[in-house]
Amino acid sequence: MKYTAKLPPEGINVSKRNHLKDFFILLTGFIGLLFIAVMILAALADKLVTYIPIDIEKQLFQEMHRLAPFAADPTSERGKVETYLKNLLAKINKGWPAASKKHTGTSEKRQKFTIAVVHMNTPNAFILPGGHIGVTHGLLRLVKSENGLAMVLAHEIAHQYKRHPLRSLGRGIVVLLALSTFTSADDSWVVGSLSNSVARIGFLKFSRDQEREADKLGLTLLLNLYGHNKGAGEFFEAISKTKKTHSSPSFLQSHPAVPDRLTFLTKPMASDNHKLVALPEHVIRFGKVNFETHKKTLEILQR
Amino acid sequence: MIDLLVLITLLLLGYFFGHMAERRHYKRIYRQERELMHMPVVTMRTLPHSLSPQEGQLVSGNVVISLDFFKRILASLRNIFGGRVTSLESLLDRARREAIIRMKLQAIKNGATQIYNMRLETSSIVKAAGSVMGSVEVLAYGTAIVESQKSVVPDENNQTKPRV
Repeated sequence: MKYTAKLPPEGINVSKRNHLKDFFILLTGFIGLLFIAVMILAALADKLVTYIPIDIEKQLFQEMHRLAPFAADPTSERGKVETYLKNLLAKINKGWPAASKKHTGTSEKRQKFTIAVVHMNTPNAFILPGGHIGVTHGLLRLVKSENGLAMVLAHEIAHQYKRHPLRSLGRGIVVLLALSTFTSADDSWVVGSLSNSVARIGFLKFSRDQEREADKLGLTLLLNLYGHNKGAGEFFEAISKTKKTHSSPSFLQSHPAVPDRLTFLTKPMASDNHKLVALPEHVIRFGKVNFETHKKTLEILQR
Repeated sequence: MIDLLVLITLLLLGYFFGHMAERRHYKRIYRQERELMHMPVVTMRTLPHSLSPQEGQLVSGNVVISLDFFKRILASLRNIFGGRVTSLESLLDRARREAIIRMKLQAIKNGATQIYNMRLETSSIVKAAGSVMGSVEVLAYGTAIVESQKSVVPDENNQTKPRV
């Protein structure tokens, strides 16, 4: 046998492939399929979760109000503000059967809500499953009239009547559970982190739709109460002045763009004859307290 | 969002550095293979009758190469859809050829002229370590034959110095 020195031929064991191209094809395929799966699952969960009776929801989440606890003493400054908020909320809530009739054709039963002030500077309000509303200190500082505050509260109870908090929770649980069974089969965190990002972007779409729905319904509730929509945009007007405009694209936002919401809420329905209802003195005073720099004041308020 | 940015940065780094490392490695492999071409390496288990070896030795060469981040992700995407994991083919090809080169270098250092019964073993270090980042080890080994006295004398001009 003879040995001839030879180099091995190239290109047999290693495929000549453009890895970048491969990568993008696989990635878009993966993200696309995942997005479709997430949206289908989320939509299913969103529909199914509304079959949970409201009584059961209230029972399940009755402890949720601990996340936004009331003032211990109803006669304290904060307690008084909360009583005021409660009464305002009750006034708005009264219009629900009429408002629901306007939107769905059937007048729906009223639900019970709780409301508390949360010591946070960011102007915001939120609602937890079970109908527990939190209003931040910063919001009380920001709004100028009762109408502005009422719009925010009407928006929040509209969320609850449309069962948005429960639906978001249901979607989150179903989709993340499904994703975790899928991603646990793959050991790389990349697939996990990618699918979480995709799910989050999918959720944002639902979130924006819910905000629009709540704005619409909230506005009806406000019109029921005052007969006009003057002051409805107060919150967003103030926000668009203080906050920088969004830099990230709208599909990465949990809420529709502020200018769009402002146009919707303030489209002319009110004439100049309509008067705004002023906030009570003690609410304005309470809103102005800077609780972070005045720890002592806060302690007094908390009592 | 931060997650995604980190991911994209890692992917880009992985792609560029991985690509660069692979190109440089292949260049070196081509050069060394040409330099070591004169030494026969065969998988035969028995020696030809014409050969009367003075000495036989075990020689081995091994190498551990790690996946870059880009290749790893490409492979894990491939895992979902199936198909040839082409991004890892070149990794294994490099590892095998490098292991053979190193084995040859060891044989030359020992004064051998040819290698019989060459075998290759591959093991994945990722499984042993249980870590996320994967690397591959390839071991090449065989029996190096040192022939009768006259051919053993090292010919300095014709020899490749082992790379350090």
